[in-house]
Amino acid sequence: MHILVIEDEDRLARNLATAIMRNAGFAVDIALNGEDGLYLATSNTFDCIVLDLMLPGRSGRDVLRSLRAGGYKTPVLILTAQDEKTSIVDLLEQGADDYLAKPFDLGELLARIKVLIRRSSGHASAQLVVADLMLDTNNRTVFRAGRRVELTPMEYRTLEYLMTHHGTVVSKEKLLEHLYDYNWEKFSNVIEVYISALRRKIDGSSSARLIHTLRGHGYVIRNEETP
Amino acid sequence: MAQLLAVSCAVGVSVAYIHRSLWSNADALLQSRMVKLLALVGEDDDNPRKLEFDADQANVPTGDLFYVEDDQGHGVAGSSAWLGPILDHLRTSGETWTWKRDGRAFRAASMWNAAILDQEDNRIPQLHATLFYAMPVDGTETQIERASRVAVLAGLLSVLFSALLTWWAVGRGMQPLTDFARYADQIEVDGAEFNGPGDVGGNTELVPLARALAALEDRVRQAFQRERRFLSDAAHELKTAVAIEKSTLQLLEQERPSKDAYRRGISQAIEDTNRIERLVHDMLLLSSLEHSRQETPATSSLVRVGDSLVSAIEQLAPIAQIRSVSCVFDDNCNARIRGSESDLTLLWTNLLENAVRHSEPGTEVQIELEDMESVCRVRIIDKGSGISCVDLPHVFERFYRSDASRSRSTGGFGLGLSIAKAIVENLDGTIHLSSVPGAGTTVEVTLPSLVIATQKSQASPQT
Repeated sequence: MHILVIEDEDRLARNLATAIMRNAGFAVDIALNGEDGLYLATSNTFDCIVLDLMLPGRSGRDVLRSLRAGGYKTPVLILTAQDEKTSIVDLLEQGADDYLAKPFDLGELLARIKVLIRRSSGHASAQLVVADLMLDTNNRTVFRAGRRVELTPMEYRTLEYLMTHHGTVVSKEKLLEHLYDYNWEKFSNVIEVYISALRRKIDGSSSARLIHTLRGHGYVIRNEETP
Repeated sequence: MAQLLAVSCAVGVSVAYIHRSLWSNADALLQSRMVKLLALVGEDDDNPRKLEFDADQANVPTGDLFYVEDDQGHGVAGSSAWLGPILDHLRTSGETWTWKRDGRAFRAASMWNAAILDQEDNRIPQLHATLFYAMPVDGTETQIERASRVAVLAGLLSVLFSALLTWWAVGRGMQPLTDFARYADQIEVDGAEFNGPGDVGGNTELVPLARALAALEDRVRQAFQRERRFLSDAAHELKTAVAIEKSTLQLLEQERPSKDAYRRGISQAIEDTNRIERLVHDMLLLSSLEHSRQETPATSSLVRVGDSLVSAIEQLAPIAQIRSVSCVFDDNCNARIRGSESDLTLLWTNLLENAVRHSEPGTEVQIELEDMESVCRVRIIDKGSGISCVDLPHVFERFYRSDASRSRSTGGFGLGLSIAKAIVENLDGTIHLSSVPGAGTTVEVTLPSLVIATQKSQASPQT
């Protein structure tokens, strides 16, 4: 998953990014003002945007409004130091999906981000299940037929994304956008490496193949045997 | 009070009048009875020069007492027994008096040397008699008592009535004030606008009061709103500062960091705490400066402006050195102001710090001090990045930070200029900022200075 943090407090932004990366294994990009944030949000694909309200230049509210007006449906979590309930209600009506008041608990922020992502991809539970493959997004554990599967962070990230959108064909480009933050060089080969590693670890010993390649289109995870 | 007095007087006068008139009625009756009696005293037919009393014709009312004696002192009619010892005294003059006998009140009079008209040949009266007459006056007394009682009662009733009337009238008159007071009572400082109780009951005396109260309420509300704004600005800044620190510490908590990572994290947290500390300090300072505007300055003394500038420059020397910026000040003016020395130094420190931080390395910050009769003017000129015209009107606002400077990382909260402005205003001065983006900024502060004797006149002429 790819997260965008728009927060003008440098230290706070970095702390948030570190926490998200470490804890959830997501890729994180940072923008220190509204203008940059809006640019990044509209030129890349993100699974969730953490947006501070008090931003220099373009305000958080402005960014949100522009985002929604432009048709971007990315879930947005607002960070605010304001107390006023009226402005929070106003923001939720403007298109924010959740809010957290500062100072907040890092753990709570992470949990809410995960919920937003889960909800926006149509899942009800924190556990993603395809046939006997189970991925727990809270613990970051993967089980196939009851047996634990060890994955590297990037392998996990890839599998998580595929399972979140299970049944949907995901192109290589999309995978690149969602798995990597801005700083990484995006070599499309690397996706193939992850997919083959996943195939080995997940599909290898089992009877049913879950990870499929559709030439020219992308990858999909689904249980072919179910009618 | 006045009414009570008036009514008492009226009642008193009435009662006195009743008294007098009823007594004079009684006296008149007495006199008429005496005359009637006297008419029955005539010359003795058998014995001229002697008086006789026609008792048959007499129709003396029961209870009346009388005694007639001739000018020799011989009794002619009635008995002198009732007169008793006062008879001798009364022989020489005519009087009217009241006395009591056996519980009954009598009014008596004497007619001394009354001429007897009934004489044989209607000559000029030569015979005289003295008549003493007493008449019971119980009735009169009762009448007086009754009448007085009526008068007093009437007086009391009228007092009561007028009291009620007054109370009602005053109540009516006070109504606008009572309404007003009730209205004033309901003023909530952050509530609806105070518009006075509309009409003040046509009472023109209350109009200035209504106006004054409205103005007061306005001032109070504005002060309250200022406080609220300050608190909400401050809350935001504090929450942000705390959020940063919290995230730093929670990050440390989550994983098992290495000793180095712990050390780094903790020193970061300490930095964050220092920031909060500075923020709280600045906020409290600003708040106390703004409050002391209303109070008389306690730490006010005579301060030489040049000295405070030098002191500020010294304080900033380390920062200036790090940034390779030099402060230039020619201390050749003896201007003095009345104020707090520490506040004044803080003012210059704030302004100088801004100037130094914004200046390019290698440039200098010029400080000028000028004494202009009743004011002194200080100019701080830097050749730094300047302030855009968008930001310029807002620089003195609390927590305002122009986007370009982003001075949060350098520790600024946007309070420096607000504090400076508060200090200047406490000293009854003015502060003005002008800037050319890219070229520099000039801050001009004028303060009322004290006119002191110049150096020239201090020198005494040599003889």
